[in-house]
Amino acid sequence: MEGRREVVVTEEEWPNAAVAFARAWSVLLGKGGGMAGGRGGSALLKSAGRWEVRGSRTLGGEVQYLCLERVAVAVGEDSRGEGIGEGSTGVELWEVEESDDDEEALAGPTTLQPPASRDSGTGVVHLYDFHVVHNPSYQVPEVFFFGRCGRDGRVLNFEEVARDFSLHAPYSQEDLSSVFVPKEHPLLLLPWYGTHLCETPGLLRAMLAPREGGCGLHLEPELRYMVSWWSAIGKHFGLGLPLELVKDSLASQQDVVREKSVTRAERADINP
Amino acid sequence: MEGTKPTTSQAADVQREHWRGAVALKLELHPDEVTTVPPPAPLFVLAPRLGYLPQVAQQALEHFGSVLPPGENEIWFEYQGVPLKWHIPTGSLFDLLSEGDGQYPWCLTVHFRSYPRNILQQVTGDSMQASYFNSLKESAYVLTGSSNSVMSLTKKSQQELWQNVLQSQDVEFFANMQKMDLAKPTRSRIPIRVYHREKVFDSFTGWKSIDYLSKSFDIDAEKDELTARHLFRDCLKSHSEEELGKVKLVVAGVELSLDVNVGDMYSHLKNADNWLYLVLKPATS
Repeated sequence: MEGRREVVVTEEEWPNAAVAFARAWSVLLGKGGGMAGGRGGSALLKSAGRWEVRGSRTLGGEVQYLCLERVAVAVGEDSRGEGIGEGSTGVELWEVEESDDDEEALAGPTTLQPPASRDSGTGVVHLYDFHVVHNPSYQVPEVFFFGRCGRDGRVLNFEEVARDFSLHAPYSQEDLSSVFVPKEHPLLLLPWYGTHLCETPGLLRAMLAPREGGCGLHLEPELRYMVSWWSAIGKHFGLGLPLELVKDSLASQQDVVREKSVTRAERADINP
Repeated sequence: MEGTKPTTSQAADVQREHWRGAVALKLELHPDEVTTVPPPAPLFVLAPRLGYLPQVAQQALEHFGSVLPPGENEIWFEYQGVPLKWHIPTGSLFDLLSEGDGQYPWCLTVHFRSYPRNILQQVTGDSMQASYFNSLKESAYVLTGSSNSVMSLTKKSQQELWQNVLQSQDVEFFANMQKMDLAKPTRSRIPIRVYHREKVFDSFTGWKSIDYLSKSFDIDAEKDELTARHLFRDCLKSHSEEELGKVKLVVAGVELSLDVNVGDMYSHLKNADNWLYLVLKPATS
């Protein structure tokens, strides 16, 4: 009987996994998210922008982490009952103080695509930053997120955050309140939010186990891991990647790569 | 002390002293929250090293409650103008931030209003307990490859264990850990949290001047003996030999030689959440 190997991404594997995920995301959503929109991806996914990989200096050297920032989440009226009028696109954004090390890797502002629902003129937008940091204890990626009001930069509380995502994810505010948890960002040392972690290794083990009939995704291991991981997490934010899209776009690319390398190997056999 | 392992009874003594250690606090209410003349006298209180600052909230409220302006009470603490993170065990917080050999008492400003939500996680009903159990789960995973031992605790068992922590009941705590199957590491990894301060902690430097690392180390895999020196100089490579000469290592309120074995430190000086907290600060501080 096959031993149950821990399904983890080690510290050594993490940087490659992060880069592979960021690249794959760009491939899937690069063209204005059009592909995603047509395949069951949410409006939020279309406008979310791209992941970047940044480095942060810590005691143990530099660690890489993924960032997806300034994701504009339309929330209708502000939870305080105030809407905003048109012409409010020129907001002054209050910046979370980040460590100096992050600045050198900033790639410039992500272009905001205003969500369709803002056209009504009374929609409020909350801006969310997502960071994915490798957790060295559980050896899995860990998502952290933080929200602020797009109009006045006010930091959003737990209830507001759960409510915001309940408008875009297939979960109620109560469901999300039991998944989300306040957590300190391990690099910024500031209060952000995260998700309950303990279940993740087991969940991933189940998802990545080899199956009869081979209906799993044919992707490089790190990318397969990250895509599987995000498929468990991303849907809580309305940012789940549609499976069909992943299979068609990514898997076919991987097949092309594999065909090329097979051909090279065959050639090597002929011409040693 | 190199080369001499403590005897079992010495080890038990060390552990008991560690558990019964407390930080003497002198709490003064922030002037903005004082509605009486003259202002209230400061409160002197002992905070268990292995506990967390908000656990003195009730005593503080009893002492200061009558002079507070109207509003909801959300306790938070400030040192040198900087809000203090409450999820760091009190003893380690004190070791990290205080100057000199430790100020007795440690003078803090206490607040009950204007909670700085942008800097501190909120403390609601059971946040402290939840934070403690999250730490315990994570260390259990490092030690055994699974958090099940902690996740399968009944609410009642959790409450019992948490009370043991709050009241520094070391005997009951370890008895409960045995009963709950929480005491048997199956892997040779040690979970360690390092807090490193290079400058004076004040309103200019604040938490940005603190480096934090949470990591585990395999005691068997290290060819050399796993001392703190080896950990920082060779494993983490965070400090050169020369730089190590300029810092001091403080664990459980005691300055330790960098050549003490980390495994021994872990056995005797680990915190209630099964993490070993190491504080590095300037040797001159």
